[in-house]
Amino acid sequence: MPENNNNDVVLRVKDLHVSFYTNQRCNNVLRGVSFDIRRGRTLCIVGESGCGKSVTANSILRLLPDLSRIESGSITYYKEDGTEVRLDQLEKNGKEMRSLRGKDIAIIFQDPMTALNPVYTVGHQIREIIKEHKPGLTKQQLKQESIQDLAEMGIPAAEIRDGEYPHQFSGGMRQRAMIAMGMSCEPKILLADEPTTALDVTISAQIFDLMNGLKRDHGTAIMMITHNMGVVAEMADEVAVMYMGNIVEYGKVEDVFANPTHPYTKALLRSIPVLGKGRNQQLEPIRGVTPDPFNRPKGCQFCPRCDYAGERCETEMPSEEWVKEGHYTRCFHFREVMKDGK
Amino acid sequence: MLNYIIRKLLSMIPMLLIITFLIYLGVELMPGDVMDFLIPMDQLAEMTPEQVDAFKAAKGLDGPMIVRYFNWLKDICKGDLGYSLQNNMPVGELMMQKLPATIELSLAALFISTVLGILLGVISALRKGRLSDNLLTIAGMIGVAIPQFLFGVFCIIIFCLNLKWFPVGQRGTGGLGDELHHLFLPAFVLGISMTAGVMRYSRSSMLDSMNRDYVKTARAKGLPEWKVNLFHGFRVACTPVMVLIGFRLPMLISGSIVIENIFQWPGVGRWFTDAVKTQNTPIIMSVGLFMVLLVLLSSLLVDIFTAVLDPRVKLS
Repeated sequence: MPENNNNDVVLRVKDLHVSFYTNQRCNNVLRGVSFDIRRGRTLCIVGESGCGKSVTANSILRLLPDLSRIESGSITYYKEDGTEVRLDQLEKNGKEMRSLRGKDIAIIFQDPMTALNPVYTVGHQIREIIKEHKPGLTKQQLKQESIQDLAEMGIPAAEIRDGEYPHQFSGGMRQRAMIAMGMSCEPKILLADEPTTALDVTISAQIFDLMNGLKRDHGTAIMMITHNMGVVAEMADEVAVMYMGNIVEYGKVEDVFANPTHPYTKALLRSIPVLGKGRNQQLEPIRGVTPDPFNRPKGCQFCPRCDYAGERCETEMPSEEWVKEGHYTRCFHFREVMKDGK
Repeated sequence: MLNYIIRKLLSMIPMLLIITFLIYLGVELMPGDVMDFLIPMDQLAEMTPEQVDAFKAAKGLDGPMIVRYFNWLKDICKGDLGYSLQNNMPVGELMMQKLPATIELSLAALFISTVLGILLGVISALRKGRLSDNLLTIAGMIGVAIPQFLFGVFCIIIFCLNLKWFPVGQRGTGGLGDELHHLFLPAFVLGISMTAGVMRYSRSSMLDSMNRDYVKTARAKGLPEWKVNLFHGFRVACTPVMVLIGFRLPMLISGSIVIENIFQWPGVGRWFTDAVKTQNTPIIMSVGLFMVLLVLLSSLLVDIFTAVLDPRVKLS
């Protein structure tokens, strides 16, 4: 991690280890994850299903399931007044953590169909979060705020929509409502956990526009989780590529896309179909399968599927190596990978 | 909504006709002769067949079953429930005497089972896997499995005869305090046997609700746990529980038949069993009609309840 603590950093995750305990087995879901979230910038976390993307987001808000534990590492939130809050040390559903949830750090979930409570009106659900963090508002003021929040997210006829139930909203509208809810207390950080996976492409584009607007107008720091490299290219300022509980490559999106230094990043980039290349283009899938999390490779997690793997890779997990400022990789052979180009 | 209710009410008429006819048929098929219960044996032996026929005609017991059923139906439509064969008292009047006791008992039991069942179920769900949850689950299993009459008798032996905390049976007559004193044990026994079911259902319903995404959303808003549990987890979980309780309303009346007999409660249930034993058709039919109506009405009530609690449900 860059050691200079400039004022832009609002959240720093350092060497985070998280384990899940199920059926008397322990799954080390996160195995040392480090990254910064900066004011007015978007960090995209990309990786395949089960690599720990959502767990990372949920650890920040301490929304992990009961049978899980943050084993080590730190999550530090830098408040605007300069104080630092160690989120990993707060009580899980304690008062301090709750005062940050929704107010300073908001989250949007993947499936807007299930993330809203079906028995309350959308307006009520937005007012609930405002009421919690800005006590003392009158009913009218609350109602005005919720309508305004909805209108700001581009929901037409917000006064009417405010009193409607989630099942009367379309998928895109629900996700807008979720973002309206997330943004209602003007959080410093917005965590978006695959916000458009359940939506179609045109609606996704609209949602991304909204999020970019928030970043521009409010300086909101955004951490977005996705498994879509196209989304990364469009949205991200920084990108973190995750594989089996580690960030294997982290850097500015230009750097990572132009000079992938980890074999996994490279393989990912190669496996994306390119529009306009014709139907004969050869996609290169990554060979092998994702290892069983209960039966992991000893050394580098990507080793069994890697073309560059050597003897050392089988026994030792590479540490974070700086390629250049703000760009690190976890690979012993990153120089070779770089030399080979895209 | 109103439209729906009217249509539903109208659709009950054919059902009522069919079910009452089946009950009538059932009474008719019962072994034994109703005359045996109306006139003492030795007198009956001395009566000539003509006298017997005349007696039957006076009581409206002659003619084929179909004709008698339609006569009964005709009287019902006029609001006349008929007369008890035993003592010639009007059934409607008797019913009015017995019904309050049964309703009192049933409502008390409903209250106990709803409050206790939901409370314990929710606690059990929120403390899933802990000792209290396991204990409640075991207690629930026992509660579901133990027959009412056995549980009732145990309670009488322990609380009435040994500990002498409660009077043995009968309804209280000396003011509210005495009435509650008499009411508590039968209501408790009837309530507990329903509590177990409500509890287990609330538990699974609550667990299901607490695992949904909106609960996580609620936590992510910064709401305190009690608000998350109550306003999000429980609010959604209570719909299916209410449906279950609604469908059990008629069971309270039928369940009270057993309890009323054990506790000598002067309600409809005991009256009904006596009527069945003596083939007292007008009483059997009236109570039967009442229960059928209750079943049909509670299914309507459940529909309305669901529509009120869940905005996704539209009655049409």
